[in-house]
Amino acid sequence: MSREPKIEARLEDRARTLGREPWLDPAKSKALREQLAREAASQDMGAGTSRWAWGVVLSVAALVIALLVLSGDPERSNYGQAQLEVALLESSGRVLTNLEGLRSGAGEGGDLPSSCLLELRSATETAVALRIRIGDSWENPWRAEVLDLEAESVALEDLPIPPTGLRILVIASQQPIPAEVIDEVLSEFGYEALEERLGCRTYLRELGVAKPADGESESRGD
Amino acid sequence: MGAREQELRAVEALEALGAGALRESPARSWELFDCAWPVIEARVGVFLRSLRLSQEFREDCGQNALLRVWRSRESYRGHSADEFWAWAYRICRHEAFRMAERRGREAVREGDAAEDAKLEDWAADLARDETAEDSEAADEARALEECLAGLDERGRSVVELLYGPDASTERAVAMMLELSKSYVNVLRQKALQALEACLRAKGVEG
Repeated sequence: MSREPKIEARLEDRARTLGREPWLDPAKSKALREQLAREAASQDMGAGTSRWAWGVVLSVAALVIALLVLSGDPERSNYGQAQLEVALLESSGRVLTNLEGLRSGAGEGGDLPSSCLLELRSATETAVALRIRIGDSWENPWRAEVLDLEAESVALEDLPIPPTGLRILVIASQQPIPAEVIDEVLSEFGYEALEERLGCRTYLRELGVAKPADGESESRGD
Repeated sequence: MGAREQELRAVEALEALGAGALRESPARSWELFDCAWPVIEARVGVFLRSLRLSQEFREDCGQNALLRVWRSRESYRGHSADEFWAWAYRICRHEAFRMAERRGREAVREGDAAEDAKLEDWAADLARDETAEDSEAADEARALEECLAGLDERGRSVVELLYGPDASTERAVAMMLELSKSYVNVLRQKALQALEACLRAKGVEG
């Protein structure tokens, strides 16, 4: 006769023992819950920026990124030509979507055209992370699922650029770089240090961003 | 509200989140998330245990993972509680991986010393009253932990997830580990047999 039910009973006893002892300090659990409650409340208040608007912003940003990467300086970029995979990650680091190759239909030399075209192409193994900066904060970009992959072309003049401007940072590397590593470098050393410290290529484009006056330093990071 | 009723409400809230309410407005999804919090927190603890993280690291990693589960909610694409757990498990696993990369992998896994200390603590708790019965239970508990530690990584994960304080279904575990349900069942049976043999070798009677 199998003794497995006995083993299962032992494991269930063990589970009951473990279950009586919370793995997370109740005070920390409470603090975390309160923090998230505050976040949820503030997000709800900020719902004026509706979800569709974010969708448009991110969709267009993806198209712009494709253009920027592909129309960048070819000597500087390993990813400048026809085939490119853009691996977009969620905050957990999981690859959500592979935009299997993006090709711009317009633009040379890095200037933003009035529209660009998205085509799906075959995959390579290049990873590109995207961060979007609005105003003074770097928004977590790892939300590829919001991107409208069906869109074929979008006019840049339709972009709902906020009054504080829109900054788009592309980070291209052979391997995905954790978001928090990028955050650390950005906050501690600034945008210029990204390439050197992370061994990646970066492309920064700004739309509607007021340039700081001479002598006025630009704030970075969260 | 009684504890049982709270528990039921938490499970219902979790099912609603898994069905897609997680992507609703922040106010609505938080209402459900908050209600389901005890269930989610408990299960995240099980996930992290299945990854064999040390107690100290589990707490740090777990807090980050809970944050990420909430903040990544718009990326959730599932339609059931099992899919929700599989998604949350992946977040926990990635968070553990990310923190391990930063801290050094060895520092976050249950090393021999940490494992021994944990087993000693548990055995001491069980034997607190110093009765012969408790002492035997402590010995058996220690033997079970040692046998669990001796399982291969996948077998250990399957056992921790299926027999943790807040157990997952085989279907959910299959999704989490990206295996077929039948293979999870095979792993489960093999792990139980291995545990049985290990306990027998240690003189623990059924």
